[in-house]
Amino acid sequence: MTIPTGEIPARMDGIGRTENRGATRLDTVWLIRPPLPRWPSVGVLMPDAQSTVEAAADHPALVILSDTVPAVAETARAVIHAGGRVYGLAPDGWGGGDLPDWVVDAPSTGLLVRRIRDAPVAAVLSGDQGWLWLGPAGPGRWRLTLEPDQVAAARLVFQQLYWIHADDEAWPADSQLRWRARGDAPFDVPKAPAHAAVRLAQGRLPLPADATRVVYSPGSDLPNTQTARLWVPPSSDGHAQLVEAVRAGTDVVWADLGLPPCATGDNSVMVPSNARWSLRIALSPRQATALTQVLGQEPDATFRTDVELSAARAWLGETGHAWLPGQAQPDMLTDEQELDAGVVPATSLRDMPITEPSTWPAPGPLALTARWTWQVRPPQVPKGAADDLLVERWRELDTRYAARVEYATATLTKIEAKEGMLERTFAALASPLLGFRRSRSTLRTALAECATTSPSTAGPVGARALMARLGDIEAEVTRLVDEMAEAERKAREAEERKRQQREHAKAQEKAREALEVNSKEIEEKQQRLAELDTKMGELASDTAMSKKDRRAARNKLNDERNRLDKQIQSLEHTIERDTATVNQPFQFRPSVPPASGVKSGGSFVPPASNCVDGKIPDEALPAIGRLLRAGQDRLLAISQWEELDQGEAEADRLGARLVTRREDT
Amino acid sequence: MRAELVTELTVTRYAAFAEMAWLVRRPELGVVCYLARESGGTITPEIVAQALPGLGDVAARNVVRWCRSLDLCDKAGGLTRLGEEVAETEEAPVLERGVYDLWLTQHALLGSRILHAERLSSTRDGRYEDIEEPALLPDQGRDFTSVVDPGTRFLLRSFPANHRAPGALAIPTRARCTMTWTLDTQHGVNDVRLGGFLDVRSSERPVSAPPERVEIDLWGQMRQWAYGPLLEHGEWHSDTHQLAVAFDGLPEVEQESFERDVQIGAVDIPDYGHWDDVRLAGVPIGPATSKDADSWAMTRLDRRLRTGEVHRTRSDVRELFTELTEDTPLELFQPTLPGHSMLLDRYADSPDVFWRLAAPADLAPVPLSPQELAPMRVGAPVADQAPSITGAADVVRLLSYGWSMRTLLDRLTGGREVDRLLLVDRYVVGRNNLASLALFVTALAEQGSATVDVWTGNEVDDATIEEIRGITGRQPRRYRDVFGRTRHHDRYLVVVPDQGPAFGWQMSNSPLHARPHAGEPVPATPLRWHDLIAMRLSVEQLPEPMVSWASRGVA
Repeated sequence: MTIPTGEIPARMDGIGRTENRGATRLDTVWLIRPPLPRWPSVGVLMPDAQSTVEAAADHPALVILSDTVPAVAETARAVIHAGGRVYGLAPDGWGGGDLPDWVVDAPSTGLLVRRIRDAPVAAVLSGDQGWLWLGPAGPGRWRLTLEPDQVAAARLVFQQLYWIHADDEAWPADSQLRWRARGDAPFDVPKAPAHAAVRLAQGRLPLPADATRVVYSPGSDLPNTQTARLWVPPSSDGHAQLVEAVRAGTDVVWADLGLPPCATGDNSVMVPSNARWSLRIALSPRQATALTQVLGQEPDATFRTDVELSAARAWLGETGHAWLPGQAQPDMLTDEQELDAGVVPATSLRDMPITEPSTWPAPGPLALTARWTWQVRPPQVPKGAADDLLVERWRELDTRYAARVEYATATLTKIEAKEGMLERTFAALASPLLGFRRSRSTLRTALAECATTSPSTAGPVGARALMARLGDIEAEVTRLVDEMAEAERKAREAEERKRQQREHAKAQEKAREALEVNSKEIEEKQQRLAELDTKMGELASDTAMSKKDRRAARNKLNDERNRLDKQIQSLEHTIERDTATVNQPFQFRPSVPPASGVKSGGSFVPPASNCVDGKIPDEALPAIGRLLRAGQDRLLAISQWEELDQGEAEADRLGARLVTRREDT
Repeated sequence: MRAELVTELTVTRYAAFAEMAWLVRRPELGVVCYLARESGGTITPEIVAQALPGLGDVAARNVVRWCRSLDLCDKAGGLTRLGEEVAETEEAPVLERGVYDLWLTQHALLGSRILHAERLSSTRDGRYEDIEEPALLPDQGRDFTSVVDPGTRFLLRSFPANHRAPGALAIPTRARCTMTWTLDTQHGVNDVRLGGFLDVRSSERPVSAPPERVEIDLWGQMRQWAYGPLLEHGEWHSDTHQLAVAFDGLPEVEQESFERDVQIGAVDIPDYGHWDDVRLAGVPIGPATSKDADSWAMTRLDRRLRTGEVHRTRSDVRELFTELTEDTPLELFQPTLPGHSMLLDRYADSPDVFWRLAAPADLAPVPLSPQELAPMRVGAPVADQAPSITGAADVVRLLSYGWSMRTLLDRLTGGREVDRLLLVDRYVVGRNNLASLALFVTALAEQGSATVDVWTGNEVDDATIEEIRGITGRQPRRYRDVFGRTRHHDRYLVVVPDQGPAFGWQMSNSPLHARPHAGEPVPATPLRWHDLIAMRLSVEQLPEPMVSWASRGVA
C-alpha cells in the first residue's frame, strides 16, 4: 500500500465500485414512449375544433360556447350573418372583457347568451342536426356528429342547462353585453328518459360496467369488468389494480388522444365529464365504429409487469420513460448511475486509502449500471479538544523560567542606574563601584545565555540543569544588590552625623545668648516687686488718705504685683531650658532612612518559584505534531503524510492516538 | 254608464212653536200595533187587552183613544202608515209642544222636509214682533229622520197658533246641503244622496243620510241621452249598449276599461228638474271598425307584454290575447293575434320583449306546431278554427275548441282502463274549475277508472279542499305537503293503468280550464279550452313525489 505524500486532506476519495443491473426485474412499470403523430379522421368522430359546421339559418341554433373550440363561435357567427337566431350558453365569466367581433356585430335579436358554469361539452344544435365537441374534462377537440335521436336528446340537455342551470343572460346592444337576471322558465323542463341517447347528470358518471371491449379512461377511473384494452393515463398509483387487469388479459395502454371517457362494445358510450356535469352519449353503430378505430391505434405507453431492465430499454429506446409505483413522475432509464456512498470514517491514518463503506446505497430501479463512489474521512481532532496537560505544564515552566530571567535582567538594569546615582552622590563610593560594575556585567552575560533556551526544549533532565543555573545567577544578583545597599547606607550615615553636629553647636550658641538677656530682665522685675511691697506697707499706714482712696491704690498695686509674678515665673522656665541646652553634650541619632531604589537583602529576590525540581514534567513533549486531549483521550495531531512514521512512534511513546488536524485546529 | 246629477239645495232655518212627535221606543205600543196588524189592521180594546193583559175594558178603550190621538190609527181603529211603522220598529211617537229650531229644504225629488230639529224652549219667549210667516212649511204627517243624527226620528204635527197662521222666527244659517242623484245602468243604481253640513249648536255637523231610491226608467233616460248629447262622441249601438269609437287617440285608461266619461251639458228630466254640466261616467265604448278592434287588441297585448320580465310561451300569448279580447267589446270584431314570426317582428327594436317571446318558443320542451305558431282569431266560430287535435302519441295538443272531456281523457289514458290517476294542478279552485273537476271525475268514472287523487296549490282554502274531497272522494293534498319548496310551473297527470307501466303527462295548461258553450256539460259535451300541450313522460322523468305516488300510491 502506497502512502501518499503532502498534506493529509480532510476528505479522500475512496477506491470506488461498479455493478451491471440489466437483468434486474421490475414488478410493475409504465413504459412511455414519445407521443406518435396521430389524429386520424374517421368521419363522424374527428379531431377538429376549428372548422365551422353547416348549421341551417332557418332554425334557431343552440350553441354551447367554449374557448377551446373556435368552431362553435364561428358557426354562430355564420348563423347570425345568415339572419338566424342563436341561443348560446357561454362559460362563466364569458363576455366580461373585450367581446369577440362576431358578438359585437350581431343584432340584438340575433344572439341571446346565457352563462353557465362548467358546461360538459361544446355544441351546435340546429334543426335535426347537431355536433358536440368533446375533450377529456369538458369541451375538447373531438367533434362528434350527432344522429337525429341524439340531437333531440341534446336539445333537452341544452334546455335543462339553459332554463334551469344558467346564471344570467345578455344580448348584444350598442356593441356590448349587459348581463341581467335570466328569469324563470315559463314551463317545467322535464328530465330525460332513461333511454335517452344523450343524458345530462350532475357529477361524474361511471363508464358502463358490462359488455365493453375497449375503455378509454383519461380520469384514471377503472372499469369494473374485464376489457380487451384499457386506455388509462400512466401514473405511479393504482398499479395493483392494473396488475389484476393485466393478469386477466387486458392490454393496459395509454396515449393522450384527447378523448373524453368512453367505451366500445355492446353499449358504446362517450361520457364527457367535468367536476360538475357528465354527459352520457349512447353512440350509434357508425359512431361506435369510428371510436373503435380511434381506440385501435398503437399506444404511446404500455403497462408491464415483471419486466427486465434490459427488455424495458429495448421497448422504450433511448428517449422513453418508465414510471414506477410511488414515483412522482416518469424517469428515463439510466445507463450508468453514479451513487455517492457518502463519507466513510477511517479507523487510522494509515488505513485511509483502503477504507470502504460498511453499507452500500441502493441504486435507482431504472439504472442499468450502478457505480458507487465515496470519500474517506481521516481520524481527526474532535471538536473541543485542547492542549494536553503535559503541554500545559511545560508551557507554564517555560513561562516562569522566562519571567525569572527577565526579572533578574531588569534588576541588573536597576543596579546599573543606581551605580550612576551613587557615583554622583557619594564620592567615597567611587572605588567600590568599580567592583560592582564588573560583577554586574558578568551576571548580565550569564542571563543572556539563559534566555536563549527554555526548559521544554531541554527536556526533563536539561530543564533541571537550566533551572539550577538560573538559581545561581539569581543568588549572585541578590548578593550584588545587598553589597551596594550596604555601601550606600554607610555613606549616608556619615553625611548625617556631620549635619547633626552642626545643628547641635548652633543650638547651644543660641541658648547662651538668650540666657544672658533673660537673666537681666528677671533681676529688673524682682526689683520692682520689692518696690511694690514697700508701697503696700506705706499705704497701710497712710491715714491721710481717705479709706476709699486707699483701697483703690492698694488694688492697683496688687494688680501690678500679680502680673510681675507671672512674668518672673515664665522667665525662670526659659532660663532653665536654655541652661540645659548649653550644658547638653552632642549625641548622634541615626534618623536617615534606608537607601532608595534597590532594596537590600532578600526583598530583591522574586517570589519563590513553584517549579522546583519535583514540578518538572517527567515526559518530554512530542518531537512532531501537537499533543492534545479530548476527554480521557490523548491525541497526537499531524498534518503531513511524511510525519506519519515519526508520529506513530511519538504517539506510541506518549500513549496517544494519531490523528490529523482539523482545519480549525 | 253612470250619471250623477248634483244639486245644491237651499236650507231654511227658523224657530217655531210647534207640536212635535218624537219617535221613541215604546214596546207596549209596538206590541199593540203588531197584534193589530196581524189581526186585520185594526186596534181594538180586545187587541189592547191581549197585548197588555190585566187592563180593564175602560182602560183598553182609553189606550185605543190614545193611539188614535197619536195617529197610530184612525177613528175606526184602522192602522195608519205610522201605526204600521210602529208595529215594525216599536218606535212610537211621543207628543210634546215647545219651541224648536228647524232646518228645512225642498226639492221635487225630496219634497218639503225637515232635515233636523232641535228643542229650544218649552214656552214661547214673547218676541211676537219678530215672528213672521215661515219661509218653508214641511210636509205634515210625514216622519223625518235627522240627517245629522240618524237615530232621531220625528213628526211635525202642527204649528199651534191663535190666528191659525203659523209663525216662525227666521234664523240665519250657513248650512249647506248637496243632493246627488245617481243613475247607474251598469249596477242598476238609481238613488239620491244628501251631503253637506248643518250648523247645529255652533258646530258643523256633517249630513249623513241613507240613499233614497227614485222610481224612474233608467235605460229609458239613458237612451234619451245616447241619441241626444252622446251622438257627437260616437255612434250609439243600442243592441250592445255601447258607444262605437275610433281607436286612434283613445286614451290608455279607456282602452283598458272600455268606458269613457262624457260631458253632456244641460239636461232636463221631466217632473224632476233641470241640471247643468251633467257628466256621464263609464259610458260603454267599443271599436267602431275591425281595424280599430285589431289595433285596440294589439295595443292592450303590447302593454301586457312589455310589463314585467316574464317569459311567455306561445300558449301564454294566445291565452293572454284571448283574455284581453274575449268578453270585451273587441270580441265582436274577432281580432286576430299575429303569427309568432310576425309578433316577433313587432319587437325587433325591443330585444327584451323579443327574447321573452322567442326563447320559450324556440326552446320549448315540445316543438310548437304550425297551428300554434299561426295567427289566431278570437271569437271565430268553431268551424273557423284550426284542427284542435294534433301531435304524435307522446304529445297531445289542444287548441281552444272542440274536444269533450271524454275525448281528452281518451287521449291521455290511451283509452285504457285506469287503476289510479293523479291530477297535479295548482289552481283546482273556483266554481268553474271545480265544475270541470267534477266533469273530469265523471268522465273517468264512465271509463271505469277507480280513484282520482288531486294535488293542488298552497293557496287553495280549506273549504275548497273539502269540496274537492267531495268530488273525488279522496283527500286532496297541497303542494307544500308534497313538493316542499320545489316549484312546478306545469300541470301533471300521472296515470297508473290497470295493465302496463305507469306514465305521466306534463301539461302546459290545466285540463280543468274547460268551459261549456252553454248549459250543464256532460262528458261528451264539446268544450272551450285554453291551449294545452301535453307531453307524455315516463315515470322516471316525473318529479320524485309523483314517482313515489305512481309506485306506492303516496307521495
